[in-house]
Order: sequence, then structure tokens, then C-alpha cells
Amino acid sequence: MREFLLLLKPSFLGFRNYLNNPAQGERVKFLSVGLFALALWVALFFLTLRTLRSFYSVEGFGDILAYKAFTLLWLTGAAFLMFSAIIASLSSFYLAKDLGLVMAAPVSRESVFWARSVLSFLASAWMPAAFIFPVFLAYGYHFNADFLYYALCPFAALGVALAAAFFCQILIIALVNVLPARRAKDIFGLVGLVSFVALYLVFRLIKPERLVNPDNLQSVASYLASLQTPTSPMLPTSWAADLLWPLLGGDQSDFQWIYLALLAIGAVVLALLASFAADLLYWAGYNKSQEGAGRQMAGGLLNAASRLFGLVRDSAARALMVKDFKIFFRDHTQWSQLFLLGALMVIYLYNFSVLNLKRYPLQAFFLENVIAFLNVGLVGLVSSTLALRFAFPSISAEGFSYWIVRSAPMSTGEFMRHKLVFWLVPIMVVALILTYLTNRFLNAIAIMSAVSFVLTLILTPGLCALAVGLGARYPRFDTENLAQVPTGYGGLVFMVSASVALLALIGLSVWPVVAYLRILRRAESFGAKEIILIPLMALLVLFLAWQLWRRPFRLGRAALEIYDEETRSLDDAAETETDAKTKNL
Amino acid sequence: MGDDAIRLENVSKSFRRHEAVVDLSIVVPKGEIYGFLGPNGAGKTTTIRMLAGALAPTKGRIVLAGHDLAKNPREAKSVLGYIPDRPFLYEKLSGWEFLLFSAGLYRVPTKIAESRAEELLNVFELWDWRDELIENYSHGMKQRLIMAGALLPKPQILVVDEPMVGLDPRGAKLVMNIFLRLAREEKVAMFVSTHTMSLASRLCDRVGVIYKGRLKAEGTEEELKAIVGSDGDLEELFLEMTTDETDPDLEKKTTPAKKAQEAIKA
Repeated sequence: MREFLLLLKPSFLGFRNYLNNPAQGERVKFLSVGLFALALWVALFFLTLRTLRSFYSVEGFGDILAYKAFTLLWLTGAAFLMFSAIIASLSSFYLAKDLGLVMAAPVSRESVFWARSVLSFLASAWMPAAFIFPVFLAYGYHFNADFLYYALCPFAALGVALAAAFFCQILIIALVNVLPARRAKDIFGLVGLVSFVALYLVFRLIKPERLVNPDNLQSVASYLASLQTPTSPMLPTSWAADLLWPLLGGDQSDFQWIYLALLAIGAVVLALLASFAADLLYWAGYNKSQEGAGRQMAGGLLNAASRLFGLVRDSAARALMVKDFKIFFRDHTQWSQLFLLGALMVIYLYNFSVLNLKRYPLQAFFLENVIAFLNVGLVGLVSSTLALRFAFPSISAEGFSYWIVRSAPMSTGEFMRHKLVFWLVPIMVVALILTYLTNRFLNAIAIMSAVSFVLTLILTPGLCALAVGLGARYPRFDTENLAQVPTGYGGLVFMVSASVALLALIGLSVWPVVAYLRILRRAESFGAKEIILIPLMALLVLFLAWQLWRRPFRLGRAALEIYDEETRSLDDAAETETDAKTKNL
Repeated sequence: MGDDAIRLENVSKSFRRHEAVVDLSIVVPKGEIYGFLGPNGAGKTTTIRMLAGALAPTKGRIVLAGHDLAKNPREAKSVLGYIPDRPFLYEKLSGWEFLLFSAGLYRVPTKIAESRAEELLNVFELWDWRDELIENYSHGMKQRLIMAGALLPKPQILVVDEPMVGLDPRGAKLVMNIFLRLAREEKVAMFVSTHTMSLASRLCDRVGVIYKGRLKAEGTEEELKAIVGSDGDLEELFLEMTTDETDPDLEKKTTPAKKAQEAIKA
């Protein structure tokens, strides 16, 4: 037990020190992330409440729908946790940097397994738990649940989470004996992403909006009938749902403690099985994981494709772009995000293709053109997402190798500009394709198409510059997974800034566009107000777009220029302090 | 001035309250190998990073081959090759691709870059690994690749932080011979930071000892012996100079350092 606690100590001490000694600016970061999390909780709470109320507005189906949603909630939470647990277990058991030290220490392998098991459980469980908390709270509030529901909820959640985590640990311990750990992590990461994209596509393409169309009520009835089939009684998620449901919308007399006992027994049995598997296979698997993931050679196809950059005249810019291009397509954490991009584009275009504005014949002209204009905002959001995924982490992508660029004859501004151009071109192409196709689906008039094209041309560079600028302002050169960079504080700042900028720019353009369409529909001529205000608003939009292009970029450049000094100061201070302490000894 | 490759003129660097380097003045002429010695936290890496253009001095001036690093960073950096102590590289590039990337950054024409890359990969015994991704290289191979990358643009100045870290004896000997040839035949000026006294003794023409951010002494090994009044080897001299009981007037006694200071002031 002492060994086990000792092995946990570095992680807890590290976490405590991180909280007690926040670096410069960390307090503001904590506060803003905390506020964001609180806002998300409140939003999730009210969204769940609204959903439950809408279920009960359909007479006769409220209980069935609420119960089904409750079981689905447990199932989704457990699936989310399992995916997270697979990655966390791989990292914690086989890939963590401190494993070499731990394995060489005179401690029992059993203690190592249990300590790693706890750490991987905590790493994987906190996020699903945080997201699901307000949803459970909303269920309790809606059904006016008594104390027992709130008291049992954490135990049920713990039972499910432990069962899911131990199941994943058994799976990983067995799997690493067949596949190298690093390759397994790559495969799971990819499978997870592809599954998510597939689910997203399937969900959208089954057209859930049909369920609210009275013409399809017959199919809704059969859909609801299918919902009444029983769920799997052997899953811990069903035990958790069946334990708590009688305390919510069900019959209180159906409440049975046996489900809690089942959850506890399930978790203990899986823990014992995990311990048994570790005893048998962990050490062998760990040894195997120390072998490399296999040789990977530089590919010919990529080399051929990178010749396209021959068009770039400046050799330093070309070198940087070729390097980024090759690294992007060799790193699965980067290129696999193209799946997300593909899914996003398909769904986006599909939504417009099924948008039937002809149902409102009198307003069709106005609606089609106003939507074509507002679509610029939506295209802006898509561009923001792409910029967040790709342009924002492009500075952090240099990693610890940033010294190479830093010591080369290239200024920070030039470096950032090359990064910006590298990502601006593909993002702009996507934005223009989306604008063109959606305008076609909407039958927008020529002038509206032109306006939306111009606005897209103005907005997209600003959003990309914002992404690169804030990426430089909040770089994470020490990250192991580049896909995680956009999920950090800087990514949050970018999304908030991009949304505000989009709202401001679209908001400023609304009046001139609507005024113009009104004049066109009524076949009137321009008044003095329009003649003065429309060009003025256009100038204001241009000015704001220019600021969006310029300011964050400058901010990022200034921050990146002193980034080294900030990190160095800490390194040097620490080194001097250690030196002084050694001398005192 | 014409023969000076590296000039640090009263360079200081502070990080908030911490003074990492204080009033440092060093002159390294063309073709000289200058050893920069000092204990942990003395300010060696800070100095090296300022020379490499990764950090800006708080005070003072750095001139590389006649180019002021603050005023003309591009020109100054284009004559400099930098070899850090930790071999962080782009793991998803091959050795060959990395060298061409380095050449691109220094604007070396493609044809020349390719022939230089081939030559250097052969010199550093990495030719057979040229198409392998760097993530499969050992620590020593990465270190040799960094050296090849730094030498590719034919720098006039080479700044090296701990050159032998991670190299096996064969690799260390190879690197030492290359450094000596570069200094003697191609007149490359080298600024080498190291903890290895035997290396400094064999490789460097002159050494400077930095302690708590200040240059304590400077000169050839013989000159340092005369200054400290000791007959020991460089390691003993180093230990003597980097304790708090060191002669406070030591700095004034170091003739070459004093000369450099006076020359700069003049």
C-alpha cells in the first residue's frame, strides 16, 4: 500500500504545485476557463430541461422518451469514457515518459499496475463526469427527485465508470501483446475519429427533421414503437439507469437495491480480472512496447506532390511550406482531421440542398437572398473551425524544433506570414466552394452571389490571421498531440474572438443588404439615405476586416518574439536556485 | 575589426530580477576556436542563445562578421551556424529532407544544397540513413545531423553548445577533427560551450570562464595558469575560478579579456 501511494505521489504533487504556483497569466486563464465551464454547465442544464419538457408535450410518449434518453445518456457517457480510457490506459501503462524510472525502481509490479490504473482512470473519467453532471442534475430537477436520487447518482456513475475503465485496461493489456503500443494508439485514435465522423454523417443523413413533419407521423409512430423494445439487461449502464429511473419518472415501488449491488460487483469483478491480466501480461507487454513502431521511410508520392511548392519563389518560404506539407501528411493526428473537414462540408451542403424555401412562395425571393447573405456568416463559422483546427496549431507544430527557425535568417513576422499563407490558400478555396455551391442551391441573384463572394474574400484572411496570431500568442511547443492544441485556452480565445468578429461584420452588413433587396423587390430607386449609408457601411466593414487581419497578427508576433525570454527566465532561475542549493549541501 | 568574427560588446541579459549575463565582452577572430566554460546556471546557454539570435540582450551589442545582430538580424544569422545541446528535430522528416529544409532557410540554391547535403551526409556517416525518418535516428545520429545542417550553408561562424553530448567515441573524434579542419583550413570562428575540460584543452585556442553571469578569466591555458598562479590542468583551474572564494581581482588580471574590453571601449 505504501508503494502504491508513493507511486501516485508525483502526479498529485505535480497537480498541487500547478494549482499553488500558477505561472504568469494563469490566474486569468483559470478564471476564464472556469467561467466558460460554468456557462456550458448552465447551457447543458437548461437544454436538458427543455428537451424533457418537449418530450412530455407529446402525450403518452413522455415517459418512454425520457426513459430512453436516460438509458442512452448512460450508454453515451460510458462509450465516451471507454474511448478516453483506451487512450489514457495506453499512455499511462506503456507510453508515459516516467515509466522507465518507475520500472527500474525497487517496487512491486502489482503496485505499478494499480497506481497506473488509478491515474489512467482519473485521466479518462473527469471529463465525461464533468459533462454529464448538469444533465443528471436537470433530470433530478425536472422530476422533482428526492435526496436518494442525488445520493445514489455518484455511486451509480462510479460503478459504470470503473467497470468501463477496467474493461478497457484488460483490452489494452491484452492488445499490446499483439500490437506495438504506439501503433495501437495511432489505430485507436484514427478509429475513434472515423467512427465519430461516420456517426455524425449517419445521424444527419437519416433526416431527423422528418420527425417533426406531420406528413411523416406514421413513421414517427412506428419509430416510437421500436423504442419500447427492452434494452440489454447485462450492461452496467442499464443497471445504473434501472436503479435511478424509479426515483425519477418511474414507479417508486420498482426501486431495487439489487442494481447498486450489481454495479459494485461488476466493478470489483472487472478490477480483479484486470489485476489478473496485468499479472499475466503487463510486464511482457511493457517490454514489447519498448520496441519501435517499425521503420517508416519518406514516401515518393508526397515528394512528388510537394513539387507544387516550386511555384513559391522565396526559397525560405518554400522550404518551410514543403516541410509543413510533408509533416502534415505523415502525422496521423494532423491529416486524420481531414475526415472531420470532409464530414463538415458534406453535411453543410446537404443541409442547403434539403432546404425547401419554395414552401413559402411569397417570401421565396427575399428568403433565398437573405439566407444567401447570412450564409456568409455560416461559411465564416466553417472557416473559423478550419482555422482553429489547422492554422491555429501551426505555430505550436514547430514543437521543440522551433530553435531551427529561430536561429535561421528569418524574422518572426516572415515565419508567421509563411504559416498564414500556407493555411489561408486551402481554407479560402473551401470557403469559396461552399459559398458558390450554397448560392447555387439557393438560386441567389447575381448581385447577392457577388456580395457573398466579396465578403468571404474579406473575412477568410482575417479569420486565418486571427488564428495564426493567437496561435503565436498562446503557443504550446511542448504538446505531444497537436490535435489537442485547439482545445486549450488559446483555442477558446480564438473561437470567442472569431465569433464576435463575425457577428460584428455580418451585423454591419445586414442593413445595406436588406435595404438593397427591399428596393429591388419593390422596384424602387435608391434614396439619399441608402446612397450615403451603404458605401459608409461597406467602408466600415473593410476597416474592421483590415483590423482583424492586422492586430492579432501583430499581437502574436510580439508575444512570440519574447516567448523564449519568458521560458528562459524560468529555466535560468530554476538552474541558479538548484545550483545554490547544491552548494549549501 | 576586419579579422573579428564574433564581437560581444558589454552584453548583459536580465530575466525580470535575475541577472543571467553581466557586461560580457568577448572578441573571437576568424579561424579561432573559443571555449566557453562555466558551471550550471553560469549564463553559458543564455550567451549562446543570444549569439544564435534566439534571445535579445538587455544591454550591449553583438556583431557577427561585421553585422549587428540587432540591426541586421538576417545578415548576421546568415553567416552563423548554430548547434544546440539537445537534438530537437522534425521527427517526421527524413535526414535528406531536413538538410534541404535547412538549406532553404539559408537560401542556398537547390543544386548546391543537394551536392553539399550528399557530401555532409557522407562525412557524418549518415548517407545510408538519408531516406529514413528522423524519429528512427539515435540520439548521436540526430546530433550529427544537426551538425551537418549547421555546416551546410558554409557558415563563417559556428556556435556550439556542448558538442559531444550523445556522441560515441568514434563520433566525438570525427566531430573534433571536422571542427579543427574548419577552423584551420576554412577560417571558421567557433564559439564552443562545454563542461568537458579535456575537450576544451584539446580543441580550443582560448577559453573564457563565466561564473554567475560574469567573465571571470580569459586566455590560453598557459595564460590562465599564470593568472591563477597554479600549475594544474584546466579542470583544476576551472574549479579554482568558479568558487565564491576566487580572487576578486581575477577579472582585472586576465590580460586578453582586459585588452578586449579596452579595445571595445576605444
